[in-house]
Formats: sequence, structure tokens, C-alpha cells
Amino acid sequence: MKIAYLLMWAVLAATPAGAAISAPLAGEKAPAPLAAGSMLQAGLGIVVDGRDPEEGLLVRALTPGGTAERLGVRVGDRLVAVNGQRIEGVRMTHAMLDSLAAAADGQVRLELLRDGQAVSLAGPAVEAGTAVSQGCGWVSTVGVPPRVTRKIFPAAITQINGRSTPLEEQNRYRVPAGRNVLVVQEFIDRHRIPTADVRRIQRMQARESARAYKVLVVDVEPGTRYSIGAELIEEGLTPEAIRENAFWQPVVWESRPEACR
Amino acid sequence: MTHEADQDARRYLASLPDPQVPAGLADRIASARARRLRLRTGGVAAAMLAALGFVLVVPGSFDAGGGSVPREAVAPIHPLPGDDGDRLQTVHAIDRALQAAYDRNAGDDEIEPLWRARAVLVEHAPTGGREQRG
Repeated sequence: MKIAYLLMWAVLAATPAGAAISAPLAGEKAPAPLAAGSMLQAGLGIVVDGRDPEEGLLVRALTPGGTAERLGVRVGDRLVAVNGQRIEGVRMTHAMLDSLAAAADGQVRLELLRDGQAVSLAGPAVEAGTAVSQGCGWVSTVGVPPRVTRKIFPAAITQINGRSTPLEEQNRYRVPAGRNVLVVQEFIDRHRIPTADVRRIQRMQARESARAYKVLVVDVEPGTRYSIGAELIEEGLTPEAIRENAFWQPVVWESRPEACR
Repeated sequence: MTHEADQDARRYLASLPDPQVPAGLADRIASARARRLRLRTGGVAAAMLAALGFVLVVPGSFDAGGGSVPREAVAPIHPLPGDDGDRLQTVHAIDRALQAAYDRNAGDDEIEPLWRARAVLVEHAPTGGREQRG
């Protein structure tokens, strides 16, 4: 069984909020206009924070090459209407927004508040380059990771593609084939770490709480189960590295065929 | 209920935000997970000891060559592999995850790892999407 590839990174550094990078990524394809009705799949290419919708949805990020970026939406704008439909004060989910955007034959008209001024932007919706895969696979934290040979220890998956996992830990989680974003919490055996370092880790984790979790991006092939663990980076056991949460990284330590329907 | 109505209802329910959770719940969940893990680890150790005892007591009970599940160990690739197109796809995947987290009313602490991952990706790319964290 081959894995197309696995993307993994330990999150060691934070980019300052508001870091502005405006051009699309190199290698990005030219945008293709959407066929009418297909907007639902492509989306607006926008991350909006609707937790306080009174003054519209706060634009947090623009997906490179997405519709919103090409229309000229800026981070920090507040989205107040989509295709004529006012949305201030309404708890909107992304699916609802995409439905509104899909209702106008491939054209999108956005009304925003920018520094208190009303701004209106309109243009064609574009494909955001999202590949849709068929089938499903599994991710799991159950099993005996290779503690001694590979320094990989148990972990918990706290989120899958932005959704919380159930409070009661499951044997395995069903995920769609394709690229999946997991948030992982480490449960490295503390008796394998020097006592002074354990105390440093406890202090760091008390301070950071859920911020100490890390992201693992896994390309899931259909009919495959991926075992997730936390790899101890022994050279990362320095006071500074522990403070920066750099002593571990989430990994896939095993994959094997497992039917998924 | 028709299949279509059922699908609509499921989509609607899936789109509803999570309820507000009390402060400190994340820490309590983490402790409960750690407790379960300790119990599970103890259980696995006991089972392994029992299996080892069985193998030692009953000669020929272990056939190293038969019935094993084919497995492949996966080496992590670090830092990010792939070209800019791959990274772009990953940014899209993270943006979808971020949006799903905001849709369910997640707290800033929960969302922060996703923002960090996005920032690392964008930092490694020649150019990338703009962002503003909570």
C-alpha cells in the first residue's frame, strides 16, 4: 500500500498577525469561471469570523486565488451582504454563505464595511482549486506506538478539519479521502523525560492550554487507516525549545489497508 | 421523510454551531483523556504480559510468519514536501478547517494551532494568502 504523500510539520513559529502577502502562490493556475450552480463546491475563498455578527462577518483570511481575493476583498473588512442578501446580525455558517453566493449564475456581489465605509465589489466566481476525492479512510490514535525504536508515543486527535472530535475517545475516525487537517495533542510518557523538563512542559502547557496542540495534515487514501502519534524530539528537550513547544511533533507512524464505505 | 429531506436536515444540523462550553472544559477533557490513556496503556501492558506468558508456556503457539497484517511504517517528511501547488492546496484545506472552526463557535485557543500551521505554510511559500488572527 503506497501513500501518495504525507505532509507534516511541527508548528514552531507564529507569523505576526496581519502579515500581508497579497500575490497568489507560484504555480497557481489561472482562475476558471464557474459554471452556474457550482459555487457551492468552490466557495468564496474566504475565512470569516461570524462569532459576533452584529456588524457583519469579519474577514480573517483570504484563500490564495479564491473569489474574494480576486474581487479585492481585504482582511479586516466586514462582510454585510452577499448577492443582495443582508447578513449582519445573522449567525451564518460557511455553507449558508456559499449558498447565497451560488444563487447568481456564477456572479458574486459582495457588500462590505471597510474602515467604516461601505464598499461594493462584484465579479465572476472562480474555481478555488479544491480537489474533491472519492471514498474515505480512517485516522486513529489507538494502538501501541513504537516508543522505544522510534520515540513515538500516544496522542489524541482533538479536531478533524476544524470540527471537534467527540469527547469520548473513539477507536477510529472516518475521514474523507484527500487532504485532511488534524489537530493533535501529545501524551508522551512523562517517565521518559527528565523530571526538570517535565516540570517545564507542565508550565508551558498550563500557559498555552489548547494552543499547545499541533496540526498534522494527512493525505488520506481511500480504504486506508492511519495511526497517529506524538514523536518525542530528544534534542528538543532544552528549556528554550520546551518553552516554544518544540520538543514533539505529530506523526503518522503506521498505515494499513482497512475497508471504508 | 424522503432521502432528500433527510439529507437537507443532516446538512442543516451539521451547519449549526457548537454550544458555548464552560471555561476550563478543555483542561478537564485533557485530564480525562490522559486518565483513559493511562488505563488503556495498563491494559495493553497486562495483555502483552499474558500473551508472552502463553507463548512461553505453550511451545509452538506462535507462528511468526503467518497471519500478519501487511503494514507500512510511514516516515514523516519534514519540512513540507511538494511544490507550491501542493502548498496552495494545503492552505485551502486549512482555510476550510479554520472556517469550520469559526462556524462552530470555537474558542481562540482551539483555533490558534490552525493559524500557526497556516502561517508556517505561507511563510515557506514565495507568496501566500493574507490573514488576520483572532
